[in-house]
Order: sequence, then C-alpha cells, then structure tokens
Amino acid sequence: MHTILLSLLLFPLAAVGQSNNCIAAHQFFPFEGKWATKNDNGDITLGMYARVSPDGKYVLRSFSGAKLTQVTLMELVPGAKNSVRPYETPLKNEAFPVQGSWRYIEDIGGEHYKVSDLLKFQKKAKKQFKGGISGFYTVAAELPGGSAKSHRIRSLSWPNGNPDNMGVGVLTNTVITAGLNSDGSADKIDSTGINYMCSNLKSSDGSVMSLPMISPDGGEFASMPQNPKGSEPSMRIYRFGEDHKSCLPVLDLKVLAAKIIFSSASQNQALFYSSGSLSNKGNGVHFYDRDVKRMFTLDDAGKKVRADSYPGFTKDGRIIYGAYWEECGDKGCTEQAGYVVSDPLQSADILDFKKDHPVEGAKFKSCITTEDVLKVEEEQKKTWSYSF
Amino acid sequence: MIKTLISLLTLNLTFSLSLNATESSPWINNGVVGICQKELLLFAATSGMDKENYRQSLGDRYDETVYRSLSEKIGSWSEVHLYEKKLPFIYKIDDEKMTKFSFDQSCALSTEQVKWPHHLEKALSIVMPEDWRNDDLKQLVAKNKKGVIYSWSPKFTYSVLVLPLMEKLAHEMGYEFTAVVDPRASKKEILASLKLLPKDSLKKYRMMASDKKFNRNVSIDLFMRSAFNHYPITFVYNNNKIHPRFVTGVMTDNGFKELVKTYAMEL
Repeated sequence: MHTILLSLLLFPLAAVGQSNNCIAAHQFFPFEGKWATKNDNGDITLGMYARVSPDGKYVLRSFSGAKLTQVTLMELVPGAKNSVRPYETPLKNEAFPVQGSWRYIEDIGGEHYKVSDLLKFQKKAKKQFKGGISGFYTVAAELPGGSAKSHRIRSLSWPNGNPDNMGVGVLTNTVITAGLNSDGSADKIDSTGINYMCSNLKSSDGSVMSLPMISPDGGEFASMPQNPKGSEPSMRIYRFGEDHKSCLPVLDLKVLAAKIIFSSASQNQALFYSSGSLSNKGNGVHFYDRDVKRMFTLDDAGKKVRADSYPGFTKDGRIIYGAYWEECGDKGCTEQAGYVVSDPLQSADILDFKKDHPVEGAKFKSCITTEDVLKVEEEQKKTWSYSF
Repeated sequence: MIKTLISLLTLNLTFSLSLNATESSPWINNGVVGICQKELLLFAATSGMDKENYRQSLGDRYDETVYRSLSEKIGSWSEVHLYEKKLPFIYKIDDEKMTKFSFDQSCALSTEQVKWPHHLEKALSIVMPEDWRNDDLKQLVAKNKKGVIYSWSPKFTYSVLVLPLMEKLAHEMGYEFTAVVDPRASKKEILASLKLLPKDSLKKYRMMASDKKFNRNVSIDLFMRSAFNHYPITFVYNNNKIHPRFVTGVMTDNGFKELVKTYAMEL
C-alpha cells in the first residue's frame, strides 16, 4: 500500500523530470478491433466530423462505423502499440463540445452532457440541461472567467428556423449562464436570447456567411463571406462586438478552406484542411501563424498521409486529425486508418522557416514536450472532476 | 546569320512587349521576385497568362506563393508556383493531363508529364460506371440552360441531409439540378449515407443521375474549382459558363436562392 502511495506521489515528479523531452513528431493511433469496419473500396471507416479535446485524449467523432453509435468519443490510448478505444454515446449527427473547457458536449438539439457521464454511462448518459442555439453548424465555447459554479457559454450558428431571418443577420449567437449544483448536476441559469449578427458588415462582406467556427475563449469566430463586395470570397476571422451583434473584422486568411479551428490564444494560430495546390505533397493540413503572418503545412510525405477534413488543436499545440496512411515494410505497403498526432513545431516547414528567418522564427520553440502534454492533461482532469 | 539576328531581335521585341504586358503581373506586384524572373515572365507572356485571370491560392510551404487561373474553358487550368529563393514552376492542366514546366539553375525551361497529388491518386485510379468526368460537365454546361451542380459527400452529414432541399430550391427557381459525390467515398458509404434521407426520396436520389445510381465526381475541373475542400459546395452555370464563385456549405433557403440568382445573372 505504501509503495503504491509513494509511486503515485512520485509519478508527477518523475514526469516533471522528463521536461524538455520532445514528443514524437508524428504518432499514429490505428483503428483496430471488432468495431473497426471496412468499406467496399478497402478503406476502414473513419467517420465524419471530429473535434479534439484540449488534452488530446479524446476525439468526438460522428459515424465511425456501422458497429458504433452515431456519435462516439474515441480515446487515444498510448502504449507500446498505440490504439483507439471507442465510447458509445446517445448523441446524434454533428454533436459538438463546448470549446475551451470541454465541460460539456452538446447534442444538436442543445442538450448538454457531462463528459464524465458519457465515458461512464455511454449510451445511457443523461443530459444535464438544454440551452443555447441549436441547428446546423452550431459551435460553442465557454467564455473566460468561469468557474464550476457559474460559467457562461456562447453558441453560434445560422439564423435557423425562419428563412426570413436573412434580412436580420447572417449569423446568430446567444450566451447562456450555467452552473454545477452541489450534487454534481448542472443547470442553465440565464440566457441573453438570440442575437442576429453582422448587419454592420453587409456593405462589405455581403449578407451570407458560411462555415462558422468559434474560438476556444468565445471572443472570436471565423466564417467565409460567400459573395463579398470588392474582395474575393475567403475565410476570415472576426471579433464578437460588445453588443453581441456587431462583427469586427480581425483578419482575412485569403484562402478557401474547410472550417477553421482556433488554437489557444497564446499560440495564436488558425488550423484548417484544404486540398491545396497541385504541388501538395503534405496531407492537406495547414495552419496560419497570426504572429509571424505565415501559412505552414504539416509535411508527411514519407508516410503518404491523407488527412480528412477535421483537424483539431490541443491546448498545448499538438495537431490531431483522422487520416489514412501507408505502413511500409519488407512485404510492401499497407494502408491504415485512424488518428495522427503531430507536433507542428517539428514540421519541416517550421524548421525551414526558423532557419531562413531566425528573428521571426524565435517565436517557435523546438518542440512540444511531454511536460507540456502532462500539464494540459492535469488541467483537463480538474474540469472533468465536476467538483468545486 | 541575318536570319539568326532577326530571330534574336524578334525575340527581344516580343520579350520587351511581354514585359510591358506583364509588368503588373500578380507575381511581380506581390514582391515575390525569385530566381529566373525574366524567363518566367517571358513564359507567362508567350503562354497568354493574363494576370486578370489568376487568383492567389494556397501554397504548400511557408515560402511558396501560388496563383491559380480562373478557367473559362472547362478542363483547362494553370497554376504558377513562386518562391523567395527557389526556382519557380508552372503546372498546366489539359483535361486529365497535367504538365509541369520547370526552370533549371541556368533558367532553361523543361517540361514533363506529372502525376496528381497523392491524396487524389487513389480516387482517380479507380474507375466506376458511376464516374462523372470533365466531359459530363462540358455536356451539362453546353446545354445553355441555368443550373446548379451540388457537390456532396457521405463524409459530411449536412451535405447529405439537405440534398432533397437543395434540389427543391433549385427547381423552385427554375434551375437544373445535378448532384455529384465525393470520389474518395466508397459506393457502400455513398449508398448507406443516402439512408439518412426520408424513404420516399431515397429511391429518387439513387436514380438522380439518370442512368447512374450516383455521379462519382472525378471531374478534375471541379477539383480545381475547390470542390474537394468542403462539402457541400454548389456551383452555378448559365450561358455555357460556370461562375468562379460558388456556394459553400448549407444555406438558409433565401441565402441559397439569393446567391444562385446573383451568380447566374453575372454569367
């Protein structure tokens, strides 16, 4: 007993002692097991849509195979041989997390579930409360300054339900306040109501915006104006106005891309998938650094990785994405499917940039360390303990 | 000797004229000078690469600047790749053939047939009866009617769910409607995803592409129009042309109609 206790006490110290140990540039977590199914073209079913937890331990995933529920939480289990463990859920379609904290996962109807319940009870997990905006493309994030007892969640989506809303705003958002009770359950406490947005930009960015995505702190969002006036359609970043209605242009990424994923504020990057140009030898995963104002790619040319369209950032800056990749050995190459965890700081593109531009490149440290990963895992454990 | 001199003078004159014609080229305006600039500009001028027909596109390295042509002729594309400190190159696509034009260290031009990016290789190497190619696109647009091409994928839930709605909206507006599907998805995935639709529309959408169960989009032209970045994407055609802009994602009814009408009117 004493030995176990001592080991537990020493474990964090041992982990801290590993500081400056770089994580691998790329780690692969293949889909294997009875739940993994194959399509008739030989591809393993990867599923669609994915969101990555801040600690990189789970991927929220839809349609990962006929043997699983519509939405699963996929645990990335590191080991001598990395693996993936699915947790089934009662969620439907493109369920989504409350970003930043990942305190809750929301179903498309606005029902909020605790992550601990989904992991423990799986399909039998019960919702805590219903609130926020629901419908296509909804995203949500917890605003800064929240605690377990009281936290504010902003959700963002289309003006759903009423086609006439197009004259009122191009997107909508609402902020709800929720909190944990002493028994560990959670309730909605308050709501701002629906705010129709961006009418202040009608003359420049037009009246239709697509693919909204919110930043982890709920302060910014990305969207693509479909038919802007005087400029080409492109993915852009905006700040929510104080009134929750106006939209303040922040950055034009000048790319046509799938949904943008924001990094943590300290990293100040935007991540996205794009099939890219005809010289594309990487995997389609691109990220823009807002400090050095450059676009970078993850280069996996050696393994021939084909990423799907939903990469995600962890809080420490790892990039996780569903993908197909080639495993080559003496007997030739076979294709595998699953998740790839990459350290962008070790990408060839970032290394070349640092060599060519040492002053600007000083922003980038040499790698993400095991200590960085451990730190975000500990932070996330606290949130998922659902205690005060 | 005289003949050679005349040739050189003609080349010089052509080059001077070409430089004037391209001095406001996007690759010059952007300040990316690079190596073999004169040779690149001469190539651009003699190949009729007008800056008005190019838009800056996504590069695949931090130091790469890419310009992709806006194609007026279906199946015909080019892409210019420029670097700060490396040799430039150009890709030209003629239907399903891709040629790379490169400069060597002495700026001499060479050409070679090249393969598609590896993320496309698998999808394009499979041939299926449901394949929908550039020729299908050309025939559709050549009918001189107004219409939309709805590109969807079983890997993107919403693109499946709104298939019936998009067709309904197109028909309400009096537009033709053609759905094409992500070629990276398997037949099983495609047909299974259609089960998400109401039963009465399932049969209809399996037969939507007349003699095909679905249209497997292996049209390189639509790939070059960014059709593979996200699903759904809706293209608008009218007067034998496709609009370079498109509708990305799912729209509210009025938003979709407004955009489609605007694009069709501009063609």
